[in-house]
Order: sequence, then structure tokens, then C-alpha cells
Amino acid sequence: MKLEMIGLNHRTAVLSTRERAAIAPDALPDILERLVRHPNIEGAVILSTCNRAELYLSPTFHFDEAELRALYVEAFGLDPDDGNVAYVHRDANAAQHLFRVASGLDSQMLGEIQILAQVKNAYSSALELATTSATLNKVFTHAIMCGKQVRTRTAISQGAVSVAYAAIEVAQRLYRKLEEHNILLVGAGETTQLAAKYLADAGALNLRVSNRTTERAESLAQQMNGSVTSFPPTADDLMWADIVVSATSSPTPVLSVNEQGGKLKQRKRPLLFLDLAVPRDVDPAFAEFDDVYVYTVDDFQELVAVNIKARQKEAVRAEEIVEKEVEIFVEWYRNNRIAPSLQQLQAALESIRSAEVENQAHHFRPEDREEIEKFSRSMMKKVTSMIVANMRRAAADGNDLTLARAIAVAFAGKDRATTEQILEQLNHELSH
Amino acid sequence: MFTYTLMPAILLVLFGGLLALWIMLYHKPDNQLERAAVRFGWVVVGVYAFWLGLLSFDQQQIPILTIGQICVFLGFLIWMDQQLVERRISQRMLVVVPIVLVILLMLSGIAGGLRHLEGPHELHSAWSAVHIILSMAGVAMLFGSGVYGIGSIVLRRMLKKRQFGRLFSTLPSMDEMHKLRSLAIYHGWSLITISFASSTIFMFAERDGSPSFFSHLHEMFALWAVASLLALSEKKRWLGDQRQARLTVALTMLMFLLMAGSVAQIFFGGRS
Repeated sequence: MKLEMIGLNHRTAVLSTRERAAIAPDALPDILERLVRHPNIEGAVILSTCNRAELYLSPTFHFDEAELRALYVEAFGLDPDDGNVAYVHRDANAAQHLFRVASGLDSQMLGEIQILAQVKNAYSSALELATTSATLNKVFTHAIMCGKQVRTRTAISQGAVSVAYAAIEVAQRLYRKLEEHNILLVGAGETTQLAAKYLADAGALNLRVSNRTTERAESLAQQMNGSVTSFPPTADDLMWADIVVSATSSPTPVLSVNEQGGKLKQRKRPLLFLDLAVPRDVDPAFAEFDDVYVYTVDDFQELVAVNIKARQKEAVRAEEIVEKEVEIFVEWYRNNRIAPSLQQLQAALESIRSAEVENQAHHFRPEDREEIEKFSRSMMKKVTSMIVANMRRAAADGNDLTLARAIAVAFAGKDRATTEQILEQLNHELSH
Repeated sequence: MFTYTLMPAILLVLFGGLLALWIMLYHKPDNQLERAAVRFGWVVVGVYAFWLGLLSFDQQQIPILTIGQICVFLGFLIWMDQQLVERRISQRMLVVVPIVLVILLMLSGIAGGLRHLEGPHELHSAWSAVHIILSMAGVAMLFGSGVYGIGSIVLRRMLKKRQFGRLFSTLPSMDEMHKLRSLAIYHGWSLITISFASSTIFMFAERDGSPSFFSHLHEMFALWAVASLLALSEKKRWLGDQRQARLTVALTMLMFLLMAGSVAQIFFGGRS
């Protein structure tokens, strides 16, 4: 029972390599099934996202590194040279890597949320295909739990870290439920379309589009289930809107206080301008109104910088959580390494006990048999518990494998094949 | 000893703990801890209610017989109000304001005296209990509206000055604070109005009663008039959201002074 991972990500491989490494969902079953047919592989999970292509394995014996790289390259359809940029982690380090990935600590955008869902999907796909193993089940469920914990106990995923999301964040500081508010889109270019999409994703429903070319305005309005208004927008449009998103290529402001600001003094609710254009579309003088807020691209970049800094601060706490969870996993992992020896020990002791009870049975009355069984079992249980406790203690000093080996030899039964198998596993562990 | 010394001390420690917890959450946001803090807040409501129960049992009526008792009763209503609002909208950092307010009220209560005294005899009647409880519940609501008003002003300042700190993302959104403010004003006004009406009925019914009940009529009427003005301004939307928030804060302060004057008239004043 081992754990190994090999992969590449945005830090170790260029985009073209990552593109080659990406695995289409319909190709996944074939690859996983092929992998688990390998005599040394007990289980396999593939995590393939736009930023990483990772293979998690639970082999019977650790692969030689060159062999592992070759296996990876073949599974992901890469060139042999690509395998050289892949990183390899084993056992506790592999678990730590996965825990960090699930927590968003290894992501290009620190603390991103999507990666947790991607880890869940990778695991459930493998689970459905029955290509996981006990070790992989444990490490993945633990990683998912760790990812959730990091996100609930730290603010690592809070605050927008892209200009578009920063604009939404500012909008939601004014209006939490965007679906209850009116949004005026000025311009129908790529930036406005993207902003409209983000706003719609955040719940915005009531949109009005104003664009120099009416056809493009109509097209965008149709996409967003909105309506079209004149260009430039009128003072009434500004009275209707709660949020104005502007991104035209006009060299002069499209919205000026002199032209459209006349009625704003009568306005009773806040108005937010999200000016995504360079040069600016919105007259900065609008900001002088009491309840009017004018935000430009620079402001969003400032917010993004603040949020990134805050996430970096939170990452320290997130690493502490990961560290603790890795320790818990490692304890489970260690206990599992010595589990076959312990089972062998229990079987040997039970066999001695039952044989002895049988041999000595004629010394006792038949009605005492039950009591003797009870007494002997209890004694054996105590002996086993003492040995298990001492082995766990030895694990802290790294001596558990030696002790497990000694037990496997000392309590070897008639079934030599099983003992040999246990010893082979332990020797392999010891050699690593 | 237990009712008058140990219980208030326990409650002060609990509120101190809550304050420390919420301040810690400001530096280290943790959703699990926040949920625990909200649950802990309900435990404090329970302990507080138990204490008020003990005081009521001791004096055989609701603890509103001294200024000190009124302060702690008001503190309870404010904390209860805060916990109910928290169920609807997470206020994150705004919760610190009611905690500080309740601690101050408790300290004033202890300083003002919690022990059973022979206060004005009208305070022992059921009518006065209804009147005082409704007044205090109304005032607690109006205090709440002042807190949301402060929240709106702070958030506006942050939005205008681009102060994107932790508080920026932890305060409720501007529209939520406006909604909460409106709700608190309407509920507060309704409670104050019912309270005022009930006391007026009582005043006519007990025309030959003690003068102390009539003593704070002017203050009570002024308080009701201010609350009505605030509620009307909110309803008719005479002002923009920000100006309404500022007006709410100013009028809440005025109402606090009137309330204090009104209470002082009952205990220390004559007929006004």
C-alpha cells in the first residue's frame, strides 16, 4: 500500500505542454483502466485541469522514478522530454501536495475555488470506474475535507482577484442581490459583453444596452434578455439604472455631468459607475454627487492587489491547516503499512490460544469452557494491544517497520507465502 | 449575592468573551468560528433571560423599578434584537457595536443600582410594565436603526475613499443596511406608538393616580414625535439613502437623550 504522484502544472510546464497533457473526459476511462491493469498498480486517479495534469497512483511497490515518468508520458500522450519537467512526490509528500492542491495553495490564482470541485470530480470519476484503492480513497476524501476546511476557516478564497470580479465585488457591496437592480451597459464590445456575462452570472436580470451601433446593441440585449436604449444614454437612463457599466472606445467621455447629470440630484438611491474604458467614458465629476460612486480600471486593480495581499496572508494559516491534516493522514498511512504484520500477529496468537484451550480442555469441567474461552481471549487481546501500542510508539521514531518485520518473522505461520509477501512489502518500505 | 453580583459578573465576562471573539474574527475570519460565535450569542441571550427572570422573581415583577434595572433590561432587548437580525443577515463587524452598547448599559445598570427599591408605585402596575417594555423594545429597535445608519455611512466612506480593507468586505452591503434600517425604524416606531397609546389610555383611566406617571409626558411625546418624523421620512423617501442614514443617526442620538430625560423624569422629576 503506497502512494505516488507525478504531474506538471503552470509552474513547471509551458502552456503548449499543458495543452498536450490535457485529457478529454471521454478518454479518461480508457487511460485509467489501462493503468490499473498494470501489475504494480492497485489504483489510479487522474487530475486534469487547464493548469495541471497529475497522476495519483497507489502501487504495490514504489516505481523507479524513470519508470514512473515513462508511465506518465505514455498515459498522457506526451513526448518523452515532457516527462522530465514533471514533479514526483511519494507517500506523505504526495498527500501533502494533493492537500495543497485541493486547498488552492498550489493554484495559479491563490485560493481559487474551482480546483476543489475539480479534485472532487477527478476522484468521483475514478471511483465510478472502480480504479481507486483504499489508499487513494483515503487520501482523496481527506484532501477534499482539508480543502473545505481551509476555505471555511480562512479567507483564502475571499475577495476578487481579477478586474472583472473586482467590479462585481464593488457592485455587490452596494447591492447584494443584483437581480433586484437595473443595469445599464454602455458599449457592446468584448469588454462590455464579458462584464454583462459576469453580471448575469452574479444574478443580474434587468439590463439595458446603449451602443453607437444599434445592431450590436440589439444583439447583446437579445443575448442578455435586455432592452436597447439610445446612444449616448439619456438622463432618464441614468435615473433608471443602479449600475452603469461602460466600455466604449470613445476618446471623450460618453457620460458627462453636464449632459446627463441634471436629474441626479433628485435621485434617492445609490448609483454605481463601473468605467472599464481607457480613456475613461464617465466624467469623474459624477463622483461629487453624494450617493454616486465612480470606479475605473485603476480602482479595480487596486482592489485586486489588496485582495491578493490578503489571500497571501491567509495562505500562512491555510498551510498550517494542511500541515495538521497531513500529519493525521500520515498516522493513518503508517498504521496501514504495518497492518498486515498486525493481522498476522493476531492470527498467530488466536491460533495458539484456541489450540491451547483445546489441548487443556480435559482439565476443566465442560461448563467452565465458556469462561476459559473468555479469559484466554481477554489475555490475548491485552497482549496484542500492548504490542500495537508499542508499535505505534515506535512509528514516531521510524522504527515501526523494523518491529513489524521482526513480528512477521517471529510469528510466521504455516502459510509461508503470506509471510513472504508481508516481508517483501516491509523490505520494500524499508528500502525507501 | 448570586442575582445581584455573580450573575451580572458572569454576563459581563460572557459579553467580554463575545467581544474578543468578534474582534478576533475581524483579523482571522473563520466561518466555523463565526457560526460558533452566533450560537454563543444565543447562549448569552439565555443566560441574560435567566438573570432577568431571577430579578423578576426577587422583586415579584419585571425588573424595571430602577434606572439600573431599566438599563440592563434595555441591554437585553438590544442583544436579542441583534441576534434576531443576525439570523437574517450576517453583520460580521457591525455586531461589535451592539456588544459594546450592551456592556455600557450593563455597567450603567450596575452603577445605577440593581437592587429592589421602593420606586414610584405606578411602576408596579401591569399597565406600566406594558408601557415600559414596549417603549424599551421600540427604543432598542431605533438604536438598531442608528447602528445600520452608521454602517451605511462607514461603507459609503470606504467606497468613496477606496478603503478596501477587511471591514470593506465584512460589512453587510449598502442595500441590506438600508433595508435593515427601514425595518428597525418601522418596528421601533410601531412599538413606541403602541406604548405611547397604552400609557395615554392608562393616564386617563388613572386620572387620580400619582403625578410621577404624568411627569415624563412631554419627553415621551417628543420622543414619539421624533420617531414619527424619522418613520415618515423613511416612508416618504424625502431624502436620498445616505442623507436618510445621517438623519437616522442624528435622530437616534436625540431619541436616546429624550429617553434618558424621560426615565430621569420618572425617578427624579415632578409633574412636567
